[in-house]
Amino acid sequence: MEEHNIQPENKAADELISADSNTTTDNGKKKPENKWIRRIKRLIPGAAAIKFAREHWKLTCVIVAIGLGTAYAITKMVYNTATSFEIVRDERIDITPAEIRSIEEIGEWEFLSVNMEELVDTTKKGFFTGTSTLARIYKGTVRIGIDMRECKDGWLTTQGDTLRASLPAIKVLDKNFIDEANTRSFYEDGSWTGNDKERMYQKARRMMLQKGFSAQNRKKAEETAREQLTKFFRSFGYNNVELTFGK
Amino acid sequence: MSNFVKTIFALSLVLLASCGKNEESKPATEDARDSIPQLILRVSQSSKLYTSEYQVHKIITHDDVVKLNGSFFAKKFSMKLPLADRKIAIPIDVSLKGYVDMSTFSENNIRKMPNGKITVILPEPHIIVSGSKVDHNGIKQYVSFSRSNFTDEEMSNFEQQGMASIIESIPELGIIESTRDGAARIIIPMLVKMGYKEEDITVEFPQQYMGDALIGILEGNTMKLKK
Repeated sequence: MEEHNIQPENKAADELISADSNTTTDNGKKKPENKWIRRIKRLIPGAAAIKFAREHWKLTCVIVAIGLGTAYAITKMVYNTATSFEIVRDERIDITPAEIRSIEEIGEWEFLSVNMEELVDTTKKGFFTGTSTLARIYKGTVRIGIDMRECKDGWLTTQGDTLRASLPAIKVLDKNFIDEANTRSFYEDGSWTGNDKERMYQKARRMMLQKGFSAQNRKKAEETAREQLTKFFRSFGYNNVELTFGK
Repeated sequence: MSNFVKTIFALSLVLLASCGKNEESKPATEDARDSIPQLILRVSQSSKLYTSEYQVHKIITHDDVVKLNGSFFAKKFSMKLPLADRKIAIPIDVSLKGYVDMSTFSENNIRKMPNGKITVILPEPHIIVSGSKVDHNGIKQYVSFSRSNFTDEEMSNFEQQGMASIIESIPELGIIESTRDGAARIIIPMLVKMGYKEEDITVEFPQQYMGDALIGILEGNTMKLKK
């Protein structure tokens, strides 16, 4: 069997073979390349592209510049067209009519008003839910005065320049004086029923009534009533005004 | 093994016995925490004659729809997200009262004629919200399974909006005319008892407040009127 031993015929061919072969030369001596380096080089993607870029670097620069310019133009176009997304909710109530349930003629004369705010909280405990808490701030105005519809026949008499008036007792003019629609929710934890909130409302009402319709405020309201009604009747020319209030 | 089964069975019984419905749980303890007695207290002396009262009922409704809004390559779009709806209806009752402020009433408000006629000029009427009540047991809410129930804060927000819309509609309710009529109905019998004849008594209001073109100015919860 013949041995095929290819020998380079000239120096140029020799150099080409050296460059292509997996050998390194050092001072003319051929050194075999490490097989691991050969395996790693085969795994690197684009190794051929990198080799091409090294060899044709001017062309590579032109291609990269065109690519970057194109990417910039696309990005700007997308940005200027304002692509955006958002989740929105409308928190306004619907427009619904208000119904007048009743119209009443009244004759209440207020002499003292007490504006109040009360913080009412309540807790409840459940086995799985733990401790739940609800705190609300209630606002209300206790109005104190007299109801002229309670005046008896002959409550007002005159004699010369003296006027005598027997007026009803000073009392709280509104049964529901809390403005519950303007109640502020302060803290809420857990779930609460309508009965729970109704109990809180009644508690707030009791507390406001106790503080607003105190003995001191009742006395103050009666003093103001005397002062204002005396001034009112004197406007009509009565110098002596005698007022009595019911109990 | 039998001991193990018995133990598990006993523990299960104990667990089941401890369970209970939310409604049957211990009721709210009112004395568990003491409320701050008073945050704000303002006492005002006044002389206000209330002559008419309107009870107004309103059902506040809110449809909480979640939408996805946006634009894609300059094309705007808006679409409702499925299975994300909530609705609530809150009934409220509001009490409106009309009054005249008598604190500035003086001899200047009275004109006496030599022929025995008398004219009383009363101040312009004002309207206030004397109270409001939410029907908590009448509140209805419909909530999709993917959403949570309405919180107390959200409901309070809706109630405040509802109150604001009622106050805006006050000038259209006719309560101003009722207040004027009511004031005359209180004053005239008083003057009759003072010795004047009913046909000689006239109750007037300032000229600029007569007529239909009235605009309400809301100060707090009081509606003051101007032309």
